[in-house]
Amino acid sequence: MHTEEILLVTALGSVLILFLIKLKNVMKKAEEKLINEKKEDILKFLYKQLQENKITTFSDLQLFSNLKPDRLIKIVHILLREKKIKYDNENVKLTSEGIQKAEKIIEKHRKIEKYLFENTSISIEEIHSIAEKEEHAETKIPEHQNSYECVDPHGDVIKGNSIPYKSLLSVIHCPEKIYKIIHIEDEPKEIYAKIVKMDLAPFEYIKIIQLKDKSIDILTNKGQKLEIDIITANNIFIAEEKDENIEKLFEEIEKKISQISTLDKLKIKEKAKIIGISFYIRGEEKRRLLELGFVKNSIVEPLYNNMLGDDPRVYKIKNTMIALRKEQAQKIYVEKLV
Amino acid sequence: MQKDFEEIIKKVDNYRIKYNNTFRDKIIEDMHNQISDILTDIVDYQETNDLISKLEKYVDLFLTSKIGGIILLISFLSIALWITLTGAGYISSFLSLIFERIEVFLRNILAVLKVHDLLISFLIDGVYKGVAIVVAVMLPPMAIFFPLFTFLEDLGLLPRIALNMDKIFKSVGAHGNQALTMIVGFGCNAAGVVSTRIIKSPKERLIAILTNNFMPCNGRWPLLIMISILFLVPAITNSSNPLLGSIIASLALVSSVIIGLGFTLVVSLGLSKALKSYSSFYILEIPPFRKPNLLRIIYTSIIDRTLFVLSRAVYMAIPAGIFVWIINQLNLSQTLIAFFDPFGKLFGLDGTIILAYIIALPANEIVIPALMMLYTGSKNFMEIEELQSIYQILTVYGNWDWKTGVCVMLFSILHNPCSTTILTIYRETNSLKWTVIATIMPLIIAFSTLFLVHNLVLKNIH
Repeated sequence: MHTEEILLVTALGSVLILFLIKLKNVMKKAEEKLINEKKEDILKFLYKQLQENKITTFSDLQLFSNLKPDRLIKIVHILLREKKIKYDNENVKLTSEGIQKAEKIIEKHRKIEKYLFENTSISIEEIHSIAEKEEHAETKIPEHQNSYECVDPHGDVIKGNSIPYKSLLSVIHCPEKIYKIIHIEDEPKEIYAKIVKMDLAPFEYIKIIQLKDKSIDILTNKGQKLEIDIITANNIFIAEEKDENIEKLFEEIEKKISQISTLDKLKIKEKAKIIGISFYIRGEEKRRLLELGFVKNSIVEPLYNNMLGDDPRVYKIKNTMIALRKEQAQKIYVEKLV
Repeated sequence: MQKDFEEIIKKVDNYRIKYNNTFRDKIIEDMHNQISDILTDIVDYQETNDLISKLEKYVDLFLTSKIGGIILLISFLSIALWITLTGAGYISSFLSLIFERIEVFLRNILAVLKVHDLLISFLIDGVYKGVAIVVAVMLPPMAIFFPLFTFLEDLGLLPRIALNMDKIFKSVGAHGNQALTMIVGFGCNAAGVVSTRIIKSPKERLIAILTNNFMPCNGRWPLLIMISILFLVPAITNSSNPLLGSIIASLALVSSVIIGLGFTLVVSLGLSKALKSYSSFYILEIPPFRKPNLLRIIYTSIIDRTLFVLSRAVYMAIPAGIFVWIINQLNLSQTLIAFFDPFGKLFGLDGTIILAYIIALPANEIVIPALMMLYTGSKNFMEIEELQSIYQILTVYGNWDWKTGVCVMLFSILHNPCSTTILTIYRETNSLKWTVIATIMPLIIAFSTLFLVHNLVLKNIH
């Protein structure tokens, strides 16, 4: 009896000890992971400050990282030991090694964003926050590999320097000028969603028509007249574009503006020519549409509705019949044929 | 030299940035333009105005109109199901006869080989009979339904149904093609799950996979029909008018489909809300009407669908057959029934029904034979043709009334998918998590619905 009891107690005890050791290991790993993430976040923050020519003090770091002081000190010590940052008159600064590391993290972030944009159906507003979580050391999301596509979904150049740009809000005078959208800020989410809904995207051209007190009227290269409020305009970044072809394009669009519409607004049997497809139709969906012939200059014609209404609707393109939902048809720009 | 290269690379980089996302579009655009240039040279497109093409246009307009769409859907469903269910009975009894002959033959061979009696019993009563009954009940409905389905698919009618139904499914965040996968689900849920491949966007595909089970498959129709004839018709009317009886029975079946559809839509809505960070797209090609190709129909329906599902069913039937054999050898069934009884009573069922559904995990078709076996205390599955003797067994041994009938019908519509479907869901989603959810979720829904219906509704009706 006694020996059995002793055996039982030892067995239970050893299991308990093993469990505790395991628990400690798990907690240690979680702590390491957290520190690594915060370390990389701090490097990114410092890099951003550097680009904006701002100085950073320790209290700035504390405000940014929202960490307990002892933990922050620990992380700063690690960074100092790794020679990624240095102290310079009370200010925290990145060393050249630190800059390299920060650039690498940002590059990874953009590659992940590009991958999510092209290869998954995760909604566009969520992409940034997922990339923010996944950019640290171990991630299951592969990076985008195509080297010729080197710009992320917000227009940032994945590796190397971007074209210099300025906010749309900073345009004070000289309407009638053509600009290229270079970058769209993805935070805060609500404003980004608004911009996506207006279908403004990197690589699109816009022409400023009128500057008002609280908004800006623009014309896009897909023939849409939009009114952008100043808060939204502040998140759209542009650069001047002096290209004869683009100027000609806008002249043509202004001439035909009454014929330009989106696919969903066409009446049954009204033939039209496609002039462009939204940037935000992407990945698998875009590939399907391109395969089926939804490209520039194709002729398209709504054939009939369905039993329950006009969503989805059947279109005739290249002698085949394709049904599209309203949301997609809205993102396809057409010019009515007369 | 190096300076030159650096300059070239810089130039290339600049072009890359400049033409980033328009690059691929441009290539495909040019391809399409070149192809249409070539085509205009060699193919003479004329607006064909002959009778057939005009007729096609009118048929299309009719099928996508309100009346035409409804006629298309209802006639399609009722004809396909009617042919399947009437035809399957004959083939099924023919197959059972053949399997009985083979059984005698196998027994003789094993006896000649002087195999131990227990092993013979294990191989024949356990493994062989389990497989034989699954094949005999599963093969015929599939062998009729799928060619029929493929025939109409080939004709070009199905995409039009999907087009007509899309608005309903869009309102719950699902894909119009889900209507098609649900129709395949009437034939077999496992095949329905495979057919979700026609839905390209992952979120909608997952929704279609997880809700396919709410469509009563061929295996569940006989049970639903039997209960509505035996229990619902007498409960509603006392007259023995056969016409009235069959109308009530068909109404009961239609309402079970509507219940299944309702649960599909509600669960789809819940799932699409839960998965809301995934956006989706809908592109459906509407083929022209064409003459079906007989060889292809036979190939795709028999090889791709029927045999594919059947092989998985056999694979899952073997362990179930062994399970039944062990229960019978050890005389465990009464113990298990007594064990499940209090649980089943909570939901208006009983221990025997629960055990029958556990035994019938590989195929819903064997629920009735399993029920007969358990109620009568027999050692083998019992295939009884006579409706009246089934009624005797259920009422005498099982104390069934029409309320039990309603509960069993509801459970039959809502319960977990059969093991073949579960295996298929695992193969299709490649994720243990979704497979478990697909199994557990219908069970939770089934038991909670039954609990509510049994305790709040049925108990108060006298």
